[in-house]
Amino acid sequence: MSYAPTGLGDGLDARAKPRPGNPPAAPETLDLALIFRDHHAQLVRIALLLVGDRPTAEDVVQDVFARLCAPGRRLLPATGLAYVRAAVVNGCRSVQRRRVLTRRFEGARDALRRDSQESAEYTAILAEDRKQVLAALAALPHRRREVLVLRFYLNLTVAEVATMLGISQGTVKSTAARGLEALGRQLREDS
Amino acid sequence: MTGTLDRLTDAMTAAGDTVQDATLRPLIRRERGRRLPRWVAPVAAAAAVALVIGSAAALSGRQPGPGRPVVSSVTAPHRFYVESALGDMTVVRSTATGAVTAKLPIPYRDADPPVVTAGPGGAFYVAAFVRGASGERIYRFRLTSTGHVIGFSPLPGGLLGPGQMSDSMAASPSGSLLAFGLAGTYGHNPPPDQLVVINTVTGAKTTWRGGVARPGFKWLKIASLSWTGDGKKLVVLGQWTRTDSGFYSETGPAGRIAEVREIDLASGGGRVTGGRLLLRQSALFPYIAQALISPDGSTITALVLKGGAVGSKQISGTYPEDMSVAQISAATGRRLSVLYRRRLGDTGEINGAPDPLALSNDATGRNLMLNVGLCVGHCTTGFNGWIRGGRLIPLQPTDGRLASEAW
Repeated sequence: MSYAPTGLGDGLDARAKPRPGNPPAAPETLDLALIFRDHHAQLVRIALLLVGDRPTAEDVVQDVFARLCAPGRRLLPATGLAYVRAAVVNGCRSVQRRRVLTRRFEGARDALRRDSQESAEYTAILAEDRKQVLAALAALPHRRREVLVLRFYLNLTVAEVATMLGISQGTVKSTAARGLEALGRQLREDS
Repeated sequence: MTGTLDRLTDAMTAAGDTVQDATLRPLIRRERGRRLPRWVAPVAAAAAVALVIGSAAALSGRQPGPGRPVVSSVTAPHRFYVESALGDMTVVRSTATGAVTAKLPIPYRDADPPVVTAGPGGAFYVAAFVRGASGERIYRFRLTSTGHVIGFSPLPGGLLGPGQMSDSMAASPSGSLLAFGLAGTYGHNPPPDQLVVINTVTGAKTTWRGGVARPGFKWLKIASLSWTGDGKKLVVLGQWTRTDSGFYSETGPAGRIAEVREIDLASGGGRVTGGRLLLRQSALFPYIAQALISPDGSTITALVLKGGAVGSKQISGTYPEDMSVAQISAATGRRLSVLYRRRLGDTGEINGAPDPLALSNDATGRNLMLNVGLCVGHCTTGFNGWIRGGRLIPLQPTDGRLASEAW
Protein backbone atom coordinates (compact mmCIF):
# COMPACT_ATOMS: atom_id res chain seq x y z
CA MET A 1 0.00 0.00 0.00
CA SER A 2 1.48 3.31 -1.05
CA TYR A 3 1.20 6.40 1.09
CA ALA A 4 2.34 8.60 -1.78
CA PRO A 5 0.37 11.85 -1.73
CA THR A 6 -1.53 12.89 -4.80
CA GLY A 7 -1.81 16.65 -4.55
CA LEU A 8 1.85 17.56 -4.73
CA GLY A 9 3.01 16.00 -7.95
CA ASP A 10 5.30 13.27 -6.78
CA GLY A 11 7.39 15.67 -4.73
CA LEU A 12 10.44 13.77 -5.88
CA ASP A 13 13.32 14.85 -8.05
CA ALA A 14 13.22 13.20 -11.45
CA ARG A 15 16.80 14.30 -12.00
CA ALA A 16 17.95 11.83 -9.41
CA LYS A 17 18.09 9.20 -12.13
CA PRO A 18 20.14 10.73 -14.98
CA ARG A 19 19.69 9.24 -18.41
CA PRO A 20 22.60 7.31 -19.84
CA GLY A 21 24.97 9.57 -21.70
CA ASN A 22 23.78 12.77 -20.02
CA PRO A 23 25.69 14.28 -17.13
CA PRO A 24 23.75 14.35 -13.85
CA ALA A 25 21.84 17.58 -13.24
CA ALA A 26 22.83 19.87 -10.41
CA PRO A 27 21.75 18.07 -7.24
CA GLU A 28 19.59 20.80 -5.78
CA THR A 29 17.75 18.34 -3.61
CA LEU A 30 16.79 17.95 0.01
CA ASP A 31 18.33 15.20 2.04
CA LEU A 32 15.76 12.94 3.67
CA ALA A 33 18.00 12.66 6.70
CA LEU A 34 17.67 16.39 7.27
CA ILE A 35 13.90 16.19 7.21
CA PHE A 36 14.04 13.28 9.60
CA ARG A 37 16.36 15.09 11.98
CA ASP A 38 14.45 18.37 11.96
CA HIS A 39 10.84 17.22 11.64
CA HIS A 40 10.56 13.67 12.95
CA ALA A 41 8.92 14.69 16.22
CA GLN A 42 6.55 17.10 14.52
CA LEU A 43 5.45 14.42 12.04
CA VAL A 44 4.79 12.00 14.89
CA ARG A 45 2.74 14.71 16.63
CA ILE A 46 0.59 15.16 13.51
CA ALA A 47 0.13 11.40 13.25
CA LEU A 48 -0.68 11.18 16.96
CA LEU A 49 -3.48 13.73 16.58
CA LEU A 50 -4.85 11.88 13.57
CA VAL A 51 -4.68 8.25 14.77
CA GLY A 52 -4.98 8.80 18.52
CA ASP A 53 -2.19 6.61 19.86
CA ARG A 54 1.53 7.06 19.85
CA PRO A 55 2.84 3.60 18.86
CA THR A 56 0.72 3.67 15.72
CA ALA A 57 1.74 7.28 15.04
CA GLU A 58 5.41 6.31 15.21
CA ASP A 59 4.77 3.29 12.99
CA VAL A 60 3.14 5.44 10.33
CA VAL A 61 6.03 7.91 10.26
CA GLN A 62 8.56 5.08 10.23
CA ASP A 63 6.77 3.49 7.30
CA VAL A 64 6.83 6.73 5.33
CA PHE A 65 10.54 7.27 5.86
CA ALA A 66 11.30 3.63 5.14
CA ARG A 67 9.54 3.93 1.79
CA LEU A 68 11.27 7.19 0.94
CA CYS A 69 14.66 5.67 1.75
CA ALA A 70 14.64 3.79 -1.54
CA PRO A 71 17.87 4.35 -3.48
CA GLY A 72 17.87 7.27 -5.90
CA ARG A 73 14.99 9.10 -4.26
CA ARG A 74 15.59 12.74 -3.46
CA LEU A 75 13.08 15.31 -2.31
CA LEU A 76 12.78 18.71 -3.91
CA PRO A 77 13.51 21.54 -1.48
CA ALA A 78 10.35 23.43 -2.41
CA THR A 79 7.88 20.65 -1.74
CA GLY A 80 9.83 17.95 0.07
CA LEU A 81 8.56 18.58 3.57
CA ALA A 82 4.99 19.04 2.35
CA TYR A 83 5.33 15.75 0.48
CA VAL A 84 6.43 13.90 3.59
CA ARG A 85 3.65 15.51 5.65
CA ALA A 86 1.07 14.51 3.08
CA ALA A 87 2.44 10.97 3.04
CA VAL A 88 2.06 10.83 6.82
CA VAL A 89 -1.54 12.10 6.57
CA ASN A 90 -2.25 9.43 3.95
CA GLY A 91 -0.67 6.78 6.16
CA CYS A 92 -2.89 7.84 9.05
CA ARG A 93 -5.92 7.63 6.79
CA SER A 94 -4.99 4.06 5.88
CA VAL A 95 -4.78 3.19 9.55
CA GLN A 96 -8.26 4.61 10.16
CA ARG A 97 -9.65 2.66 7.22
CA ARG A 98 -8.14 -0.51 8.57
CA ARG A 99 -9.74 0.14 11.93
CA VAL A 100 -13.16 0.52 10.37
CA LEU A 101 -12.65 -2.68 8.40
CA THR A 102 -11.52 -4.46 11.49
CA ARG A 103 -14.72 -3.40 13.22
CA ARG A 104 -16.73 -4.82 10.39
CA PHE A 105 -15.11 -8.20 10.24
CA GLU A 106 -13.37 -9.07 13.41
CA GLY A 107 -12.19 -7.88 16.77
CA ALA A 108 -14.32 -4.76 16.90
CA ARG A 109 -13.70 -4.18 20.55
CA ASP A 110 -10.06 -5.11 20.12
CA ALA A 111 -9.50 -2.34 17.65
CA LEU A 112 -11.33 0.12 19.84
CA ARG A 113 -9.12 -0.84 22.73
CA ARG A 114 -5.98 -0.26 20.74
CA ASP A 115 -7.41 3.02 19.50
CA SER A 116 -7.75 4.30 23.01
CA GLN A 117 -4.57 2.91 24.52
CA GLU A 118 -2.60 5.76 26.03
CA SER A 119 0.80 5.90 27.64
CA ALA A 120 1.01 6.81 31.31
CA GLU A 121 2.88 9.96 30.37
CA TYR A 122 0.21 10.96 27.88
CA THR A 123 -2.54 10.40 30.41
CA ALA A 124 -0.76 12.23 33.18
CA ILE A 125 -0.03 15.33 31.17
CA LEU A 126 -3.41 15.75 29.59
CA ALA A 127 -6.14 17.23 31.74
CA GLU A 128 -9.62 15.84 31.59
CA ASP A 129 -10.91 18.74 29.51
CA ARG A 130 -8.20 18.26 26.92
CA LYS A 131 -8.88 14.55 26.72
CA GLN A 132 -12.54 15.35 26.14
CA VAL A 133 -11.62 17.68 23.27
CA LEU A 134 -9.27 15.10 21.74
CA ALA A 135 -11.93 12.40 22.02
CA ALA A 136 -14.37 14.67 20.20
CA LEU A 137 -11.71 15.35 17.56
CA ALA A 138 -11.15 11.60 17.13
CA ALA A 139 -14.87 11.09 16.56
CA LEU A 140 -14.94 13.46 13.58
CA PRO A 141 -14.80 12.06 10.03
CA HIS A 142 -11.21 11.79 8.89
CA ARG A 143 -11.35 14.65 6.39
CA ARG A 144 -12.57 17.14 9.02
CA ARG A 145 -10.01 15.89 11.51
CA GLU A 146 -7.21 16.29 8.98
CA VAL A 147 -8.26 19.80 8.08
CA LEU A 148 -8.50 20.89 11.73
CA VAL A 149 -5.10 19.41 12.61
CA LEU A 150 -3.31 20.83 9.58
CA ARG A 151 -4.99 24.23 9.79
CA PHE A 152 -4.99 24.85 13.54
CA TYR A 153 -2.16 22.69 14.88
CA LEU A 154 0.36 23.07 12.10
CA ASN A 155 -0.97 26.55 11.29
CA LEU A 156 -0.82 25.88 7.56
CA THR A 157 -2.58 28.34 5.28
CA VAL A 158 -5.84 27.42 3.60
CA ALA A 159 -3.97 27.13 0.30
CA GLU A 160 -1.34 24.81 1.79
CA VAL A 161 -3.98 22.56 3.33
CA ALA A 162 -5.87 22.49 0.04
CA THR A 163 -2.74 21.47 -1.87
CA MET A 164 -1.78 18.83 0.66
CA LEU A 165 -5.20 17.19 0.72
CA GLY A 166 -5.94 17.69 -2.97
CA ILE A 167 -9.14 19.66 -2.38
CA SER A 168 -10.24 23.22 -3.16
CA GLN A 169 -9.63 26.13 -0.81
CA GLY A 170 -13.38 26.59 -0.43
CA THR A 171 -13.70 23.00 0.71
CA VAL A 172 -10.95 23.55 3.27
CA LYS A 173 -12.81 26.56 4.69
CA SER A 174 -16.18 24.88 4.81
CA THR A 175 -14.73 21.64 6.22
CA ALA A 176 -12.92 23.56 8.96
CA ALA A 177 -16.07 25.50 9.85
CA ARG A 178 -18.20 22.37 9.93
CA GLY A 179 -15.56 20.51 11.89
CA LEU A 180 -15.43 23.21 14.55
CA GLU A 181 -19.20 23.34 14.68
CA ALA A 182 -19.46 19.57 15.13
CA LEU A 183 -16.72 19.68 17.74
CA GLY A 184 -18.52 22.39 19.69
CA ARG A 185 -21.78 20.48 19.49
CA GLN A 186 -20.13 17.29 20.72
CA LEU A 187 -18.42 19.08 23.61
CA ARG A 188 -21.67 20.71 24.69
CA GLU A 189 -23.37 17.30 24.65
CA ASP A 190 -20.59 15.75 26.70
CA SER A 191 -20.50 18.48 29.34
CA MET B 1 -16.80 29.05 17.92
CA THR B 2 -13.73 30.90 19.21
CA GLY B 3 -14.03 29.09 22.52
CA THR B 4 -14.11 25.76 20.75
CA LEU B 5 -11.11 26.72 18.63
CA ASP B 6 -9.17 27.82 21.70
CA ARG B 7 -9.92 24.56 23.48
CA LEU B 8 -8.98 22.60 20.38
CA THR B 9 -5.63 24.30 19.86
CA ASP B 10 -4.86 24.02 23.56
CA ALA B 11 -5.64 20.31 23.59
CA MET B 12 -3.73 19.61 20.37
CA THR B 13 -0.69 21.52 21.63
CA ALA B 14 -0.72 19.64 24.93
CA ALA B 15 -1.08 16.29 23.15
CA GLY B 16 1.70 17.19 20.73
CA ASP B 17 3.99 18.22 23.57
CA THR B 18 3.91 14.67 24.92
CA VAL B 19 6.04 13.71 21.92
CA GLN B 20 9.67 14.70 22.42
CA ASP B 21 12.62 13.92 20.21
CA ALA B 22 14.50 12.08 22.91
CA THR B 23 11.70 9.59 23.48
CA LEU B 24 11.16 8.62 19.84
CA ARG B 25 12.27 5.34 18.39
CA PRO B 26 15.12 5.64 15.92
CA LEU B 27 14.36 5.01 12.26
CA ILE B 28 14.82 1.32 11.52
CA ARG B 29 15.70 0.66 7.94
CA ARG B 30 14.21 -2.55 6.67
CA GLU B 31 16.54 -5.38 5.94
CA ARG B 32 16.75 -6.12 2.27
CA GLY B 33 17.76 -9.40 0.75
CA ARG B 34 20.88 -9.65 -1.34
CA ARG B 35 20.30 -8.01 -4.68
CA LEU B 36 20.28 -10.22 -7.71
CA PRO B 37 21.65 -9.04 -11.05
CA ARG B 38 19.21 -6.95 -13.08
CA TRP B 39 18.77 -9.53 -15.78
CA VAL B 40 17.47 -12.16 -13.37
CA ALA B 41 13.98 -10.69 -12.87
CA PRO B 42 12.94 -10.41 -16.56
CA VAL B 43 14.45 -13.78 -17.40
CA ALA B 44 12.69 -15.43 -14.47
CA ALA B 45 9.39 -13.74 -15.39
CA ALA B 46 9.69 -14.86 -19.01
CA ALA B 47 10.50 -18.41 -17.93
CA ALA B 48 7.51 -18.46 -15.58
CA VAL B 49 5.15 -17.19 -18.29
CA ALA B 50 6.49 -19.76 -20.77
CA LEU B 51 6.04 -22.51 -18.19
CA VAL B 52 2.44 -21.49 -17.42
CA ILE B 53 1.47 -21.20 -21.08
CA GLY B 54 3.22 -24.48 -21.90
CA SER B 55 1.50 -26.31 -19.07
CA ALA B 56 -1.93 -24.90 -19.98
CA ALA B 57 -1.41 -25.82 -23.62
CA ALA B 58 -0.26 -29.32 -22.71
CA LEU B 59 -3.30 -29.83 -20.49
CA SER B 60 -5.80 -28.48 -23.01
CA GLY B 61 -4.11 -30.19 -25.96
CA ARG B 62 -3.92 -27.05 -28.07
CA GLN B 63 -1.87 -23.94 -28.39
CA PRO B 64 -3.40 -20.65 -27.21
CA GLY B 65 -4.33 -18.55 -30.19
CA PRO B 66 -3.03 -15.07 -30.70
CA GLY B 67 -4.68 -12.56 -28.40
CA ARG B 68 -6.47 -15.21 -26.40
CA PRO B 69 -6.31 -14.31 -22.70
CA VAL B 70 -4.87 -16.84 -20.29
CA VAL B 71 -7.42 -17.32 -17.53
CA SER B 72 -7.95 -19.73 -14.69
CA SER B 73 -8.53 -23.31 -15.82
CA VAL B 74 -11.22 -23.76 -13.12
CA THR B 75 -14.67 -22.55 -14.09
CA ALA B 76 -16.01 -20.11 -11.54
CA PRO B 77 -19.59 -20.63 -10.33
CA HIS B 78 -20.45 -16.99 -11.01
CA ARG B 79 -19.27 -14.76 -13.81
CA PHE B 80 -19.12 -11.64 -11.67
CA TYR B 81 -18.56 -10.63 -8.09
CA VAL B 82 -19.03 -7.38 -6.20
CA GLU B 83 -16.07 -5.96 -4.35
CA SER B 84 -15.93 -3.14 -1.84
CA ALA B 85 -12.23 -2.40 -1.83
CA LEU B 86 -10.19 -0.48 0.66
CA GLY B 87 -9.89 3.14 -0.40
CA ASP B 88 -11.66 2.63 -3.68
CA MET B 89 -15.10 2.54 -5.29
CA THR B 90 -17.38 -0.45 -4.84
CA VAL B 91 -17.14 -2.27 -8.15
CA VAL B 92 -18.37 -5.29 -10.09
CA ARG B 93 -15.57 -7.50 -11.43
CA SER B 94 -15.31 -10.40 -13.81
CA THR B 95 -14.45 -13.49 -11.75
CA ALA B 96 -12.24 -14.87 -14.51
CA THR B 97 -10.17 -11.82 -15.30
CA GLY B 98 -10.78 -9.33 -12.48
CA ALA B 99 -11.74 -6.66 -15.01
CA VAL B 100 -14.12 -4.00 -13.66
CA THR B 101 -17.47 -4.12 -15.46
CA ALA B 102 -19.35 -1.54 -13.39
CA LYS B 103 -18.95 0.90 -10.53
CA LEU B 104 -21.71 1.39 -7.99
CA PRO B 105 -23.18 4.88 -7.81
CA ILE B 106 -22.49 5.19 -4.10
CA PRO B 107 -21.46 8.65 -2.96
CA TYR B 108 -18.44 7.12 -1.31
CA ARG B 109 -17.04 8.37 1.99
CA ASP B 110 -13.67 6.80 1.70
CA ALA B 111 -12.89 6.06 5.34
CA ASP B 112 -15.75 3.63 5.62
CA PRO B 113 -15.79 0.91 2.97
CA PRO B 114 -19.25 -0.53 2.34
CA VAL B 115 -20.31 -4.08 3.25
CA VAL B 116 -21.91 -6.15 0.47
CA THR B 117 -23.92 -9.36 0.49
CA ALA B 118 -25.69 -11.43 -2.16
CA GLY B 119 -29.38 -12.31 -2.15
CA PRO B 120 -31.52 -14.62 -4.25
CA GLY B 121 -32.20 -14.06 -7.95
CA GLY B 122 -29.05 -12.06 -8.56
CA ALA B 123 -29.89 -9.41 -5.96
CA PHE B 124 -27.21 -7.67 -3.92
CA TYR B 125 -27.33 -5.46 -0.86
CA VAL B 126 -24.73 -2.92 0.13
CA ALA B 127 -24.49 -0.86 3.35
CA ALA B 128 -22.52 2.34 2.97
CA PHE B 129 -21.98 5.68 4.59
CA VAL B 130 -23.22 8.43 2.32
CA ARG B 131 -22.85 12.16 2.41
CA GLY B 132 -25.43 14.01 4.46
CA ALA B 133 -26.24 11.04 6.69
CA SER B 134 -24.46 10.26 9.94
CA GLY B 135 -25.38 6.56 9.80
CA GLU B 136 -25.10 4.02 7.03
CA ARG B 137 -27.74 3.54 4.35
CA ILE B 138 -28.54 0.14 2.83
CA TYR B 139 -29.08 -0.10 -0.94
CA ARG B 140 -30.10 -2.97 -3.20
CA PHE B 141 -29.36 -3.68 -6.84
CA ARG B 142 -29.05 -6.43 -9.44
CA LEU B 143 -26.49 -7.36 -12.04
CA THR B 144 -27.18 -7.85 -15.72
CA SER B 145 -25.75 -10.79 -17.66
CA THR B 146 -22.92 -8.50 -18.75
CA GLY B 147 -22.02 -7.43 -15.23
CA HIS B 148 -23.71 -4.05 -15.19
CA VAL B 149 -25.74 -2.61 -12.31
CA ILE B 150 -29.51 -2.14 -12.58
CA GLY B 151 -32.23 -1.22 -10.10
CA PHE B 152 -29.89 0.51 -7.69
CA SER B 153 -32.15 2.02 -4.99
CA PRO B 154 -32.30 2.62 -1.23
CA LEU B 155 -33.85 -0.17 0.81
CA PRO B 156 -37.04 0.90 2.61
CA GLY B 157 -36.15 1.52 6.25
CA GLY B 158 -32.48 1.06 5.40
CA LEU B 159 -31.22 4.37 6.77
CA LEU B 160 -29.50 3.59 10.08
CA GLY B 161 -29.35 5.92 13.05
CA PRO B 162 -26.55 8.41 13.76
CA GLY B 163 -23.20 6.69 14.16
CA GLN B 164 -24.63 3.28 13.30
CA MET B 165 -23.27 0.79 10.79
CA SER B 166 -23.74 -2.83 9.85
CA ASP B 167 -21.19 -5.40 10.99
CA SER B 168 -22.41 -8.24 8.79
CA MET B 169 -25.40 -8.88 6.53
CA ALA B 170 -27.35 -11.82 5.09
CA ALA B 171 -30.42 -11.88 2.86
CA SER B 172 -33.13 -14.51 3.39
CA PRO B 173 -33.63 -17.16 0.65
CA SER B 174 -36.78 -15.45 -0.58
CA GLY B 175 -35.23 -12.01 -0.46
CA SER B 176 -38.08 -10.65 1.66
CA LEU B 177 -35.88 -10.18 4.74
CA LEU B 178 -32.40 -8.82 5.31
CA ALA B 179 -30.57 -9.49 8.58
CA PHE B 180 -27.66 -7.42 9.80
CA GLY B 181 -25.61 -6.80 12.93
CA LEU B 182 -26.15 -3.22 14.05
CA ALA B 183 -23.00 -1.65 15.52
CA GLY B 184 -21.85 1.78 16.63
CA THR B 185 -18.93 3.42 14.85
CA TYR B 186 -15.54 3.76 16.47
CA GLY B 187 -14.79 6.99 18.31
CA HIS B 188 -17.90 6.69 20.45
CA ASN B 189 -18.54 4.24 23.23
CA PRO B 190 -20.37 1.66 21.17
CA PRO B 191 -23.12 -0.41 22.74
CA PRO B 192 -23.10 -4.19 22.21
CA ASP B 193 -24.23 -5.20 18.74
CA GLN B 194 -27.89 -5.83 18.08
CA LEU B 195 -29.37 -8.22 15.56
CA VAL B 196 -31.83 -6.50 13.21
CA VAL B 197 -34.07 -8.12 10.59
CA ILE B 198 -35.63 -5.72 8.13
CA ASN B 199 -38.54 -6.40 5.79
CA THR B 200 -37.23 -5.46 2.35
CA VAL B 201 -40.69 -4.43 1.14
CA THR B 202 -42.15 -2.49 4.06
CA GLY B 203 -38.97 -1.53 5.94
CA ALA B 204 -40.39 -2.90 9.22
CA LYS B 205 -37.68 -3.97 11.66
CA THR B 206 -37.42 -6.63 14.34
CA THR B 207 -34.60 -6.44 16.88
CA TRP B 208 -32.81 -8.93 19.09
CA ARG B 209 -30.47 -7.51 21.72
CA GLY B 210 -27.33 -9.41 22.67
CA GLY B 211 -27.93 -10.67 26.15
CA VAL B 212 -25.27 -12.04 28.50
CA ALA B 213 -23.60 -15.26 27.33
CA ARG B 214 -22.12 -15.99 30.76
CA PRO B 215 -21.91 -13.82 33.87
CA GLY B 216 -19.75 -10.84 32.97
CA PHE B 217 -19.73 -11.51 29.22
CA LYS B 218 -22.09 -8.80 28.02
CA TRP B 219 -20.34 -7.26 24.98
CA LEU B 220 -21.51 -8.80 21.73
CA LYS B 221 -20.00 -8.69 18.29
CA ILE B 222 -22.12 -10.28 15.55
CA ALA B 223 -19.43 -11.91 13.44
CA SER B 224 -21.54 -13.65 10.82
CA LEU B 225 -25.13 -14.37 9.80
CA SER B 226 -26.81 -16.98 7.61
CA TRP B 227 -30.30 -18.37 6.93
CA THR B 228 -31.76 -21.83 6.70
CA GLY B 229 -33.34 -22.68 3.34
CA ASP B 230 -36.92 -22.21 4.54
CA GLY B 231 -36.16 -18.67 5.70
CA LYS B 232 -37.57 -19.35 9.16
CA LYS B 233 -34.33 -19.64 11.10
CA LEU B 234 -31.44 -17.24 11.27
CA VAL B 235 -28.06 -18.50 12.49
CA VAL B 236 -25.84 -16.03 14.32
CA LEU B 237 -22.20 -16.29 15.27
CA GLY B 238 -21.86 -14.07 18.33
CA GLN B 239 -18.57 -13.26 20.05
CA TRP B 240 -19.04 -12.09 23.63
CA THR B 241 -16.35 -10.44 25.73
CA ARG B 242 -16.29 -9.14 29.30
CA THR B 243 -15.56 -5.57 28.28
CA ASP B 244 -15.46 -3.67 25.05
CA SER B 245 -11.89 -4.86 24.57
CA GLY B 246 -9.72 -7.92 24.94
CA PHE B 247 -7.24 -9.28 22.43
CA TYR B 248 -7.50 -12.97 21.89
CA SER B 249 -3.72 -13.20 21.85
CA GLU B 250 -3.63 -11.60 25.30
CA THR B 251 -6.63 -13.17 26.93
CA GLY B 252 -6.75 -16.56 25.21
CA PRO B 253 -10.01 -18.50 24.92
CA ALA B 254 -11.04 -17.45 28.43
CA GLY B 255 -11.41 -13.81 27.40
CA ARG B 256 -13.93 -14.44 24.66
CA ILE B 257 -16.94 -16.68 24.16
CA ALA B 258 -18.07 -17.56 20.67
CA GLU B 259 -21.47 -19.16 20.24
CA VAL B 260 -23.45 -20.16 17.18
CA ARG B 261 -27.13 -19.73 17.93
CA GLU B 262 -30.24 -20.33 15.88
CA ILE B 263 -32.87 -17.61 16.08
CA ASP B 264 -36.46 -18.50 15.30
CA LEU B 265 -38.00 -15.63 13.34
CA ALA B 266 -41.36 -16.47 14.87
CA SER B 267 -40.05 -15.25 18.24
CA GLY B 268 -40.49 -11.70 16.92
CA GLY B 269 -37.52 -10.23 18.82
CA GLY B 270 -35.85 -10.70 22.18
CA ARG B 271 -32.25 -11.64 22.91
CA VAL B 272 -29.66 -13.45 20.84
CA THR B 273 -28.80 -15.57 23.87
CA GLY B 274 -32.41 -16.79 23.76
CA GLY B 275 -31.75 -18.61 20.49
CA ARG B 276 -31.02 -22.35 20.37
CA LEU B 277 -27.33 -23.09 20.93
CA LEU B 278 -25.79 -25.02 18.02
CA LEU B 279 -22.08 -24.71 18.69
CA ARG B 280 -19.87 -23.20 21.33
CA GLN B 281 -16.18 -22.42 21.44
CA SER B 282 -14.33 -25.43 22.87
CA ALA B 283 -10.94 -27.10 23.02
CA LEU B 284 -11.62 -28.49 19.54
CA PHE B 285 -12.72 -25.10 18.23
CA PRO B 286 -10.94 -22.54 20.43
CA TYR B 287 -11.51 -19.64 18.04
CA ILE B 288 -14.58 -19.56 15.80
CA ALA B 289 -14.17 -16.64 13.42
CA GLN B 290 -17.12 -17.22 11.04
CA ALA B 291 -19.97 -19.74 10.89
CA LEU B 292 -22.55 -20.36 8.16
CA ILE B 293 -25.50 -22.76 8.30
CA SER B 294 -26.33 -25.09 5.41
CA PRO B 295 -29.76 -24.61 3.73
CA ASP B 296 -31.11 -27.77 5.42
CA GLY B 297 -29.87 -26.61 8.81
CA SER B 298 -27.82 -29.75 9.44
CA THR B 299 -24.27 -28.50 8.92
CA ILE B 300 -22.29 -25.51 10.05
CA THR B 301 -19.42 -24.42 7.83
CA ALA B 302 -17.02 -22.56 10.09
CA LEU B 303 -13.77 -20.69 9.78
CA VAL B 304 -11.86 -21.83 12.86
CA LEU B 305 -8.40 -21.05 14.20
CA LYS B 306 -6.28 -22.94 16.68
CA GLY B 307 -2.71 -23.23 17.87
CA GLY B 308 -0.43 -20.50 19.09
CA ALA B 309 -0.54 -16.86 18.02
CA VAL B 310 2.67 -16.32 16.08
CA GLY B 311 4.05 -12.82 15.79
CA SER B 312 6.99 -11.12 14.20
CA LYS B 313 10.13 -9.86 15.90
CA GLN B 314 8.46 -6.53 16.53
CA ILE B 315 4.95 -7.33 17.63
CA SER B 316 3.07 -10.27 19.09
CA GLY B 317 0.69 -12.27 16.95
CA THR B 318 -3.01 -11.51 16.77
CA TYR B 319 -4.52 -14.88 15.84
CA PRO B 320 -3.86 -18.60 16.32
CA GLU B 321 -1.81 -19.74 13.37
CA ASP B 322 -3.69 -22.81 12.08
CA MET B 323 -6.73 -21.85 10.02
CA SER B 324 -9.26 -24.29 8.66
CA VAL B 325 -12.68 -24.19 7.05
CA ALA B 326 -14.51 -27.09 8.64
CA GLN B 327 -17.95 -28.64 8.34
CA ILE B 328 -19.49 -29.32 11.72
CA SER B 329 -22.66 -31.16 12.63
CA ALA B 330 -25.25 -28.73 13.97
CA ALA B 331 -26.85 -31.55 15.96
CA THR B 332 -23.78 -32.93 17.72
CA GLY B 333 -21.09 -30.26 17.34
CA ARG B 334 -18.68 -32.85 15.89
CA ARG B 335 -16.39 -32.06 13.02
CA LEU B 336 -17.46 -33.82 9.84
CA SER B 337 -14.80 -32.74 7.37
CA VAL B 338 -12.25 -30.06 6.55
CA LEU B 339 -12.79 -28.18 3.30
CA TYR B 340 -9.63 -26.13 3.38
CA ARG B 341 -6.69 -25.72 5.69
CA ARG B 342 -3.86 -23.22 5.79
CA ARG B 343 -1.21 -22.04 8.19
CA LEU B 344 -1.43 -18.31 8.71
CA GLY B 345 1.98 -17.92 10.30
CA ASP B 346 2.93 -14.44 11.39
CA THR B 347 -0.21 -12.50 12.19
CA GLY B 348 1.60 -9.65 13.93
CA GLU B 349 0.45 -6.30 12.65
CA ILE B 350 2.34 -3.05 12.61
CA ASN B 351 -0.63 -0.74 12.37
CA GLY B 352 -2.42 -1.80 15.49
CA ALA B 353 -5.38 -3.56 13.96
CA PRO B 354 -5.87 -7.27 13.38
CA ASP B 355 -6.84 -8.58 9.97
CA PRO B 356 -10.35 -9.31 8.86
CA LEU B 357 -11.42 -12.94 8.61
CA ALA B 358 -14.48 -13.37 6.43
CA LEU B 359 -16.22 -16.44 5.05
CA SER B 360 -19.23 -15.82 2.82
CA ASN B 361 -21.54 -17.85 0.66
CA ASP B 362 -23.57 -17.26 -2.44
CA ALA B 363 -27.35 -17.51 -2.52
CA THR B 364 -27.21 -21.26 -3.21
CA GLY B 365 -25.14 -21.87 -0.08
CA ARG B 366 -22.66 -23.99 -2.04
CA ASN B 367 -19.91 -21.64 -3.14
CA LEU B 368 -17.73 -20.35 -0.34
CA MET B 369 -15.61 -17.25 -0.60
CA LEU B 370 -12.76 -16.68 1.81
CA ASN B 371 -11.16 -13.35 2.63
CA VAL B 372 -8.28 -13.18 5.09
CA GLY B 373 -6.22 -10.12 5.67
CA LEU B 374 -5.52 -6.66 4.39
CA CYS B 375 -1.83 -6.79 4.77
CA VAL B 376 0.51 -3.89 5.14
CA GLY B 377 3.61 -3.53 7.26
CA HIS B 378 4.88 -6.88 8.49
CA CYS B 379 1.81 -8.94 7.76
CA THR B 380 2.25 -11.59 5.11
CA THR B 381 -0.93 -13.59 5.51
CA GLY B 382 -3.43 -11.90 3.20
CA PHE B 383 -5.30 -13.93 0.61
CA ASN B 384 -8.77 -14.28 -0.82
CA GLY B 385 -10.55 -16.60 -3.17
CA TRP B 386 -13.14 -19.34 -3.42
CA ILE B 387 -12.89 -22.89 -2.23
CA ARG B 388 -13.13 -25.85 -4.61
CA GLY B 389 -11.91 -29.39 -3.96
CA GLY B 390 -9.75 -28.48 -1.00
CA ARG B 391 -8.03 -25.68 -2.90
CA LEU B 392 -8.33 -21.94 -2.75
CA ILE B 393 -8.85 -20.47 -6.22
CA PRO B 394 -7.56 -16.89 -5.97
CA LEU B 395 -9.95 -14.13 -6.94
CA GLN B 396 -8.68 -11.80 -9.64
CA PRO B 397 -6.92 -9.43 -9.27
CA THR B 398 -4.66 -11.09 -6.72
CA ASP B 399 -3.20 -7.94 -5.24
CA GLY B 400 -4.69 -8.29 -1.76
CA ARG B 401 -6.80 -5.16 -2.26
CA LEU B 402 -10.03 -6.36 -0.72
CA ALA B 403 -12.49 -5.52 1.94
CA SER B 404 -15.86 -7.10 1.38
CA GLU B 405 -17.01 -9.33 -1.45
CA ALA B 406 -20.16 -11.11 -2.57
CA TRP B 407 -21.39 -13.19 -5.51
